[in-house]
Amino acid sequence: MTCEEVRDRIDDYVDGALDEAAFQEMELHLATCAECRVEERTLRALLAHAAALPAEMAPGRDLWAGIEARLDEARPRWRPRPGVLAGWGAGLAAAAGVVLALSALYGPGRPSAGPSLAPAALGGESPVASVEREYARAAAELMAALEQQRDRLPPETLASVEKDLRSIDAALQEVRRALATDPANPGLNHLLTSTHQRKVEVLQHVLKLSRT
Amino acid sequence: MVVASRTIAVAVLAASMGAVRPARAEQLDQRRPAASDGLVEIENPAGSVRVIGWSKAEVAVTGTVGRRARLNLRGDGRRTHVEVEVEGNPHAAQSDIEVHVPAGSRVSVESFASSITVSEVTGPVTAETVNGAVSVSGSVKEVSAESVNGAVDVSGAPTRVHAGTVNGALTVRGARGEIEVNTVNGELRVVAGGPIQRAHLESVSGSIRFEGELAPHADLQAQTVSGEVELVLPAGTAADFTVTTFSGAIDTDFGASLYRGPRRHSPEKELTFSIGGGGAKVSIETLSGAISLRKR
Repeated sequence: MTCEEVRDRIDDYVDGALDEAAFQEMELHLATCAECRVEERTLRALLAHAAALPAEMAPGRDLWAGIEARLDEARPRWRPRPGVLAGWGAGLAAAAGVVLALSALYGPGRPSAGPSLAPAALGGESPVASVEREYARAAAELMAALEQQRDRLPPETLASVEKDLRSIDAALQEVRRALATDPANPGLNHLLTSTHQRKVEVLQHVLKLSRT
Repeated sequence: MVVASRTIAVAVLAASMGAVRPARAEQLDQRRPAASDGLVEIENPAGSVRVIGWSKAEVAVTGTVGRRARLNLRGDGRRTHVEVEVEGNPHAAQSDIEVHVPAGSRVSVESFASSITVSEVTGPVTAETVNGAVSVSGSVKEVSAESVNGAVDVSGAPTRVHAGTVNGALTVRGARGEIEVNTVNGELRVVAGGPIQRAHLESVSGSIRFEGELAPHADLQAQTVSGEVELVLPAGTAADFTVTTFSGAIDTDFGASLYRGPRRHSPEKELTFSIGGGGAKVSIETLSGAISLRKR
């Protein structure tokens, strides 16, 4: 049995729906293939985690208050302070750091394998979840730098950029929903991080040219 | 005596104001010697920029600058800087400039709210704006063009194109060699004019369409979250395909040798196959966008 065949039949395997011969072939392959074993364990863990969830869940606390406080910290006062460009530069530096971190995780093109969100869903924070958090931080800093220039930029342009960012956020939500059903999917993880990267690039581009 | 003093004071004040910035649009006609392959950097906050390559060893700027704006043309021949400087908010003054440059120049144009048009330049061109369309045409070989709220159109026969938009349409016609294009919401269209060695096509929700020929060991990647992807390739293409979509549909004229999914715990579908004995590598990945592979 090849890895491809294992991936095709892994759902049946964990559900106990394989016939005896196929089951034995699968066991044999998993005993010798670490990559498929990881996939099998991730799938089993996810299913166990999903089975343990209640039918409905309310948040333990109001998360938005904390998020808003962090945004407030990052948001500058309305009037530009001395050294406005330092803030702009910090945003770009943070964004560049995130892009480098992403490159280390996922180079150009779709990864064949890589870190996924699955471990985060099951316990500690995964590398991709960490990168997603860093992207959010970079975007918040760039937004703060853009906010500093709000009074000298055409309002219709800012409105348009904000609309663009909302559409990227909507796409991110779409990817996250898909990831919730298939957390170990490397393609989805790649789409998530590349969409984050696109958001940061849009902000970088607007900020750079707003200095023109 | 008092009247005379006031008259002189008003005249001096008016003259000094005029020396700093014209209060209304000013006609331009300035020029400087420039190397045939030098760098020409152009900055105009708002209005329009038109760059035209010519055979003279000279940079010439014509057009108008807006209120409280002036043209700063400087450089040493190898590097020429064309900058519209504005007193106060730079985005409040509309300046429309036409810049003739030696055809072999390396050209860089930056703006916030200008449309940018470049033609007849053979050196590398970089053009960036936020509000406005970008058009690059002619015999240019290398192009980098970006706009946020505007269309980007690259035509001619460039061998290296890097282009991006956020919500404007992005069109590349006639290119060969390497193409890297991306958009958020815009329609992305590539019609190659020769063999493509490397192509990276990416969108968030905009549709992607590629039509052209692949070089023997080309690498073509298309990726989108929710946009549709359409590839139109010659019937004799030799390539290995990996086509993946999480919840979209896959439709192909080329047949398929291996089709996986959807699985019980994931709706993801993957199609892998080779045609023409393989060689070029084609990877397509979407979340919900439909994928179609067409024979030309």
